[in-house]
Amino acid sequence: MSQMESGQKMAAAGGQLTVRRKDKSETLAEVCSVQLAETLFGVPIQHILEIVGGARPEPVPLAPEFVGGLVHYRGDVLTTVSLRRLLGLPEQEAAQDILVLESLQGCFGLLVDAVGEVLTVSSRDFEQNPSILDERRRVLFAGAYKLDGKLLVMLDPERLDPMRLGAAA
Amino acid sequence: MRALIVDDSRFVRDFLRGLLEERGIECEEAADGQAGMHRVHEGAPFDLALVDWNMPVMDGFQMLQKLRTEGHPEMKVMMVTTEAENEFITRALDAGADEYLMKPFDGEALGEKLAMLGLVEA
Amino acid sequence: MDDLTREFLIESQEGLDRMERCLTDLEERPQDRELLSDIFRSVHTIKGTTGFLGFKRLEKLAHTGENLLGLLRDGKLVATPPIITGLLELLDGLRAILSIVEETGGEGDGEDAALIEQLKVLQELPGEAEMAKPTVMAAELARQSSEVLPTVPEATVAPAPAMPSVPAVVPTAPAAPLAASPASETAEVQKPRAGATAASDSTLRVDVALLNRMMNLVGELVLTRNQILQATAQHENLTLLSRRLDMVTADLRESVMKARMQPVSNVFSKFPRIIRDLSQMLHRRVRLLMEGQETELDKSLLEAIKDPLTHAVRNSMDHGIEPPEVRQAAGKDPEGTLKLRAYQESSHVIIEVSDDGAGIAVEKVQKKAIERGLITAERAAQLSERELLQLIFLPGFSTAEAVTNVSGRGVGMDVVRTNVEKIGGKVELDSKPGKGTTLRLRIPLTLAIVPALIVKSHGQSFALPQGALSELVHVPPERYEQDIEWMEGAPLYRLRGNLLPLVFLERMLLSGDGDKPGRDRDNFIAVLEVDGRRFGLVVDGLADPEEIVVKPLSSVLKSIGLYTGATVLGSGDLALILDPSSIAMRAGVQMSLQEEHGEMEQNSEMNAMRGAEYLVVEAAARKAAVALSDVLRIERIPLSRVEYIGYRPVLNFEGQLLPVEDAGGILREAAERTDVEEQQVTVVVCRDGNRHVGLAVHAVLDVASGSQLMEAGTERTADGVTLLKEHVTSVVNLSGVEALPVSAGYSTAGFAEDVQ
Repeated sequence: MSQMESGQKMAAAGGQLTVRRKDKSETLAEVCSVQLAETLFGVPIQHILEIVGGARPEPVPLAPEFVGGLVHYRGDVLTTVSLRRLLGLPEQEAAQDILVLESLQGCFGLLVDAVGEVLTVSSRDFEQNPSILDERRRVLFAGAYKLDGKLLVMLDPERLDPMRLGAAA
Repeated sequence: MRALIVDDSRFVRDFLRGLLEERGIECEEAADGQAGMHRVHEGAPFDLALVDWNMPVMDGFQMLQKLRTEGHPEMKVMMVTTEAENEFITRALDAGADEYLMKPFDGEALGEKLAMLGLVEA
Repeated sequence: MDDLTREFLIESQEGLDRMERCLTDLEERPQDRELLSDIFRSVHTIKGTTGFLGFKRLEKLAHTGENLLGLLRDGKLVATPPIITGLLELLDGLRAILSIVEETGGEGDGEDAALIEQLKVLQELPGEAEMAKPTVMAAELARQSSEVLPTVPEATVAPAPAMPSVPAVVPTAPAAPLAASPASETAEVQKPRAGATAASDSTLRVDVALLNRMMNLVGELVLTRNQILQATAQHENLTLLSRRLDMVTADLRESVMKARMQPVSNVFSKFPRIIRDLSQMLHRRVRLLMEGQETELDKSLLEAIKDPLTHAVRNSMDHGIEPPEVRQAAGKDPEGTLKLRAYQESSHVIIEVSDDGAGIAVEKVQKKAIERGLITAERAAQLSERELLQLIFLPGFSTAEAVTNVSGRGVGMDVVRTNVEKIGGKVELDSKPGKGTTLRLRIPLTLAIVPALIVKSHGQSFALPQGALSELVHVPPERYEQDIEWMEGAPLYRLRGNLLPLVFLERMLLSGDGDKPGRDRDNFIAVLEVDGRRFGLVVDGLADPEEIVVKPLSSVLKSIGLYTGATVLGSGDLALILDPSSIAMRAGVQMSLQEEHGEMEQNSEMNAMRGAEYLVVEAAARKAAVALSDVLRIERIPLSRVEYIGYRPVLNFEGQLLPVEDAGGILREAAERTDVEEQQVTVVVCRDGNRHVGLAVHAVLDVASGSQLMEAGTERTADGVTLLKEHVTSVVNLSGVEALPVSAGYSTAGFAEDVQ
């Protein structure tokens, strides 16, 4: 989903604080930031149901590479997607944080090293994925915001849905 | 004011309850004549009973007869029926029914009948 | 859609369902006035309520039907087969319009003129001759059915008593405010019937979504209880509280489960119609018998067996029951019998579909299986008839071609089996050529909570549903080389002389192919039987069995195929639930047709006797068995925890003092030993009715399924012994363990010697 579309979607949801229009050309959005290895990632906060800290998911033998394991979440068993594995980074031993994200099929967890602060970003600073980005990342990323001195790489929860990743794999 | 709705159709009970409650009438329900008699015997007295004709276990006519055998002069009985047959209506009125109401009806038709019984302002 | 319309739809659909049931009964008892009144009322209610909502099309159709039904109810018409057919069409017509209302909110613009005309034609009063014929038929039908349905009163055979004559049909239409007044109205005499069935006031409709939510909460409660039970083993003060939680949880669980239960009649009720249609289509004469319709099953399970059951019934009609002339030639009743039977057997509901048809021609099954390359001719020649029959369940056995060629059944039987096994059930097939076929579906009562064995592999816990488990074998490291045999890389175990293929769970899950895995540790072989395959799953640890709450997995994990779900254990850990059938398939375990030859040969009655699981224990060098369903916990405790009331040993178990049976003198023997610092003893805690008792044992050896033994020459089962692994073993009589407080000495119950 492009940033434009998500802006429209949010507007359609109506009256959400996450979106304020300053003028016709600029849309503001709130993004939960996630640091992973060298990169700062962002997830639009309206897709986040909850953040669960200090999780140690139960591994699932023979599961697709990107599956980070299972966690117990509000009476259900939640499948997690490991951002590290998705990006081909080495596993981390320490407990990780989980962003519980809504998807078409219910919800799933995104396993990250640690959740950072919520940032407000402007559509003016948005850029599409660069063409030199490798295929794997181009599929996962939804563009980037230019922040002071660094880039905020946007993750699109729909593209991280394990069902979709599973179908692609 | 309290009314007892006796009908084996949940739909009709709901429909009647809606109309009566709009007029501030408190309602109780029963799914057949026998259950209706239980209600009559159990709780506070009713001012009005709306009784369906064709019901399982104990039909409306039997319930009417029972009610009137026991007395309950304070309770008006309105037969709710689709039987478009004079004979039955006459029989019901002879057996002590105070009014009848033909299905289908609307709030206005019900209001007229209630007014005829002097239960609401015309 | 507003609430009233929704209410109308639900009520009308319920009414039509009731009408369908009544109509099929009506075929057998065409003059049963109570049935006729019921049917009349269903249509009458629909007609009466449609007017409120302005559904003119429905009203018109229902009105025509009501007129016809009024004549039937008043005895002016007899329910002949054409009339019943007409009423079934009325039913379909009304249903069709209702579903349009449900989808669109309107009635659609369909035309019912033909149906209305047909119903009107049926109202023409029949002549004398026509009157007589159906009555005879009815009497005949009633006679036949009263043999098998003793509830049918003889009275229904007699013609209906003459009704008080009612002056004819005079249209009078007092002002009907909303709807146009009907053109004509049939006179009705209300004939009240005392004791007729009533819609019960004690039932309540509950939203399934709400019920599911409640189930989920109950599941959570069970999990919490399990965790508290584990945590409080050390903290005595919480014990009372946790016991209460235990009780509340069990009660709540039971009531919610009950709320989800529905009678199998909900599924059975559609078969009379299906069979009626099929017999016309296939030119069969079939009498349907149904038994145990009140048996209840979880709603979701009931949904799940609907299709397999329909499939089985169609098969019986298509391939089982022969055409009348064929049956007659074979000296059989030209009318075949199809029997649907449901009954509960411990924690399962058994649903049987049996027919007295041609049975399955085993030689054709054999030929077909060879043709399809499912089995070699050499191997096929070695199989017994019973084994050959099982080939029908192989995927790829039945194809469109098989339908026409095989005179037995076989239409997608693999699909039937897959669907039933998906919900934890089992399928069994018996057939006698010329005599008929019985298909038996064994369905667990509930789906959401299942007893499971917790196994460990590579430090991770997995849950193994006990349904597939037939026994457990312990292989200590020193016996590894001897017990586990290898044939060109394939591990095998000799189980009572037969080679059991082994699957090492660790090797399968880690995709490793290490040489002789698990050589230096304890190994446990869980002997599993699923899909007619028998194999041993080798794990490296066992934990206490638990009742697990099944949580669904996301589709991406489901598609791995090895897991049916996940669960939260009492320890708080998550465990994946293993799917024995997928494991067998992935490991390439074939249908073990040659396994347990003797056992398979035994008749089905013997099979039905199997299934009880026993814990085999050893005390004072004797083996004894305890029914696994009675075992609550196996405790390894320090001897110092055993207290004495007088000379009666007792154990404080979760705040409750329970008597410990020490027939083997184990406690005494341990107490006499001075060479060991802290003696440990094993106590099996069992449930005996409302109380708990402990059994001191030397060792827990095994879990095995046992057969009940029949007393020689009688139909009675012999108490107190079971056939375990071909040995007659005594079963501990728990109720013989004396209650506390006691003053007397040891009871005589205890462990008897092996009978063999």
